[in-house]
Amino acid sequence: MAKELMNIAEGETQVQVVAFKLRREEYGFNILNVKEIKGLTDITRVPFASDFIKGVINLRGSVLPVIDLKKRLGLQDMEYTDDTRIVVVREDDLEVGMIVDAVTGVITLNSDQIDAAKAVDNENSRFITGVGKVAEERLIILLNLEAIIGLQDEIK
Amino acid sequence: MDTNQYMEMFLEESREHLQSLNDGLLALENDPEEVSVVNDIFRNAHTIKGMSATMGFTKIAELTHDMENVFDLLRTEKMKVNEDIMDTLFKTIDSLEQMIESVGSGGPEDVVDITGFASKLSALASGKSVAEAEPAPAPAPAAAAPAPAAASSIEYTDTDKDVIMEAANGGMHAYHIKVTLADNCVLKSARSYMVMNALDQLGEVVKSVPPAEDLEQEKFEHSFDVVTITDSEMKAVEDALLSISEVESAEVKDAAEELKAAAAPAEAPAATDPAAPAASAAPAAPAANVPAPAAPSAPVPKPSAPPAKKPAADAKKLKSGQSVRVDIEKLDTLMNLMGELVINKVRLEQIGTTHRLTELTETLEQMDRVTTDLQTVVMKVRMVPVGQVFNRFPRMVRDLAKELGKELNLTIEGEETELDRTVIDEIGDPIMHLLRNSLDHGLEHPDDREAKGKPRIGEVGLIARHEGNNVVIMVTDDGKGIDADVIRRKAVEKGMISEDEANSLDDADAVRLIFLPGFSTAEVVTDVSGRGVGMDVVRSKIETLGGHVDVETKIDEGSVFKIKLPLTLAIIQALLVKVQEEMYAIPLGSIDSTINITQEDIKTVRNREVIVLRGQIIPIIRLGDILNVPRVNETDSDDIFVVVVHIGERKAGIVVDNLIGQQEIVIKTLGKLLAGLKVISGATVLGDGRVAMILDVSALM
Repeated sequence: MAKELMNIAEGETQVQVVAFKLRREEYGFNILNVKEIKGLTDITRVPFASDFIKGVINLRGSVLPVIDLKKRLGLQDMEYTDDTRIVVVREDDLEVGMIVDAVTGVITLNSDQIDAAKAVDNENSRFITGVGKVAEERLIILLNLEAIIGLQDEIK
Repeated sequence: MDTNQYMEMFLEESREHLQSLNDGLLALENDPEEVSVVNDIFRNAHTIKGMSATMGFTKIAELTHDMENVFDLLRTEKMKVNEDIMDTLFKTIDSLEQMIESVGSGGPEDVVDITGFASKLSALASGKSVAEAEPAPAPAPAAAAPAPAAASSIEYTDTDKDVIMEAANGGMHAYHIKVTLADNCVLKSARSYMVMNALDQLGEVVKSVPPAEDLEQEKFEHSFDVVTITDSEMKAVEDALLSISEVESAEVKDAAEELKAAAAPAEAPAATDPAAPAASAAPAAPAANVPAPAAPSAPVPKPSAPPAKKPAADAKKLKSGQSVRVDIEKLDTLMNLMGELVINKVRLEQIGTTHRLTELTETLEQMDRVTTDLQTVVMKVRMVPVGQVFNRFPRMVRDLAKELGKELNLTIEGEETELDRTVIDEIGDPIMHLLRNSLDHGLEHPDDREAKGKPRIGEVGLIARHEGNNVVIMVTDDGKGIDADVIRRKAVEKGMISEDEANSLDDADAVRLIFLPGFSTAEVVTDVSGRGVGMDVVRSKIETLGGHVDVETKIDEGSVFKIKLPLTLAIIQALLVKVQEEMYAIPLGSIDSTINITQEDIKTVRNREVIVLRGQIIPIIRLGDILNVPRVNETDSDDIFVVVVHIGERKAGIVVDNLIGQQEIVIKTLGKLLAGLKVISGATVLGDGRVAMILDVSALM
């Protein structure tokens, strides 16, 4: 299950994730979905957009929507710092920027290090595909990109 | 044979030929005596047959072949045009279209059951022809061999004769082939090369008139002669040649027989000078079809004879032929690059102004001129005549009129008016809807019309023309018009507006209610139009294209639906305005003027803020409130900037904090994630690299 959702190809046992921080926790996207990582730039507010859409930025001439990932996951807001980054991700033909507090690196996880998301009664569980255990004290929450940006029902 | 790489070409060409078939049949239906039209469409059908056979689509080829047989009878006047035939032909074309679209999208060929048509077509072909075909010579395959030698436009040298006779005696065949290319063939040299190539594969070409070099340089009219020696059968050679696209006919004769016939001059009845029948214009019977020697199937104008008077349609075709097909994606890329260039130019201009660099500014002025020209050219490249969309309507209107039992005459004007390709792609459906609407709701039944003292045949017009920086497309009818009172009543019944509101509307505004969602006045819901989705869909479609739709109507005189569209969607002039710290762009096309007022000028009427401008009461829209712009600083200045905008006849004043200036902006879409936002129609990247939202003025009002 977790294997499928993280796009691990058949027969492959490893997955690379781009890990980043949201407040005190570490999260990750499959590296195959990550296009680039940018510093914070001017974000233009888009009137009438959903509240977790921070706005749009100019990415080399094209207009890229940016999601406030903390808001999307229901986490408390935090001031932007020098470490704040925009992670540009791609799912199908949709490109989106995600604001994260800091990027911590690329981490290789073996499939036996990943626990499938348990059926938590948390409304955010649909955004989570699993938890990767890097070390005893270091857990990375693997995010379901499709659920985060595939939000037809919620745009209005 | 790997045909994939030719698929695109096949589809494009087939669609064009199907369109011509449709047009031709319509012309024929209007004027059944004009049999010359059949000659044209015969050629279209034949090309489709050839192409689909080459591509391996046997079903399409078969069906086209059956249709061709019917055309042949019409052409030779062995059969008269009647309604039954026309309907069958139209339906056949529809089926062909479906089949071709299906194979185009990778589907199977037999999406439609063609057996019905096929048998009907052959019934038409055989039934009539059997009755009337008695005087016609039976198709004699042998006829090909003793063909009159007079057709020979080739002079054999003694060596040629030796080679030919030798081949004939050695069990090989020597064929004299007269190849005729289609009238509108553009790359004659390429086609002739393909012909030569095909012949080389079958055998050896020993002679060609004109010589090969001349063929390469297109120094021939539409036909040329070749002599080839091969062990293939006559039919095989002919098929191979006919499968090459744009080869109109390939007349294969046995060269040895020809030589023998020439040797006995008395036998050669010079009477059948090919020049005479050839004057009846180019379309020749493909040799595949019954080469009855006496019939005017003797093809091919003499090389010297210029093609006789061409139908106007042909001239048009020729024009479109002299162009290059470019993938629309490439044009989009070009357009995007152009957009980048414009953004960077604006950026440079800003640097020049801030740092007061006169030299830079001067150079930029030069560059500005170049980019403006370049931009115009790029825009023009993307322009397509609206005729591309219009040409499918006559057929649709005909079918619909039949279905509804109405009689009408469709006039199309201004097909050559050009619009941006992206607009063209989108505009078809709204126009189709308006036409349907006019036919279904606008035009009365012929009897009703007569009762009103109008001609039985209604007039429906589809007119395109330039109006300033816009293109206007109008759908007109001389039907019963729209009754404003009926509309008012319906709107109240449906609870869309209150009775008071309805009564306060003037007639023109009342009629505009039809553009509101969920409105349908049809007493009876037909499957043609009037399902309650309609005009509002038309309106929103047009408005997403940056256009506007309006209606004018007079009871019993008819209605005019007017669509106004911008010439292009990609780069527009806009006024940049500031609300608090946010920057917005308002398309210049919808701006009337900008004015400077004070708080006292704003009055309140019925709880709405208005201003009076030159005797006109204009409602005020406070942009900051509408867009929920976060308040950063209180504006305490008494000066208020108002941008007066209009959509059609309606006006409104948009209150902003500051006017920044006019600029050319490149429209970027906001993408799927942000699609469908109200009031915002897109975004643009400003000179300083920031993004600004573009306002959809029509949604604001």
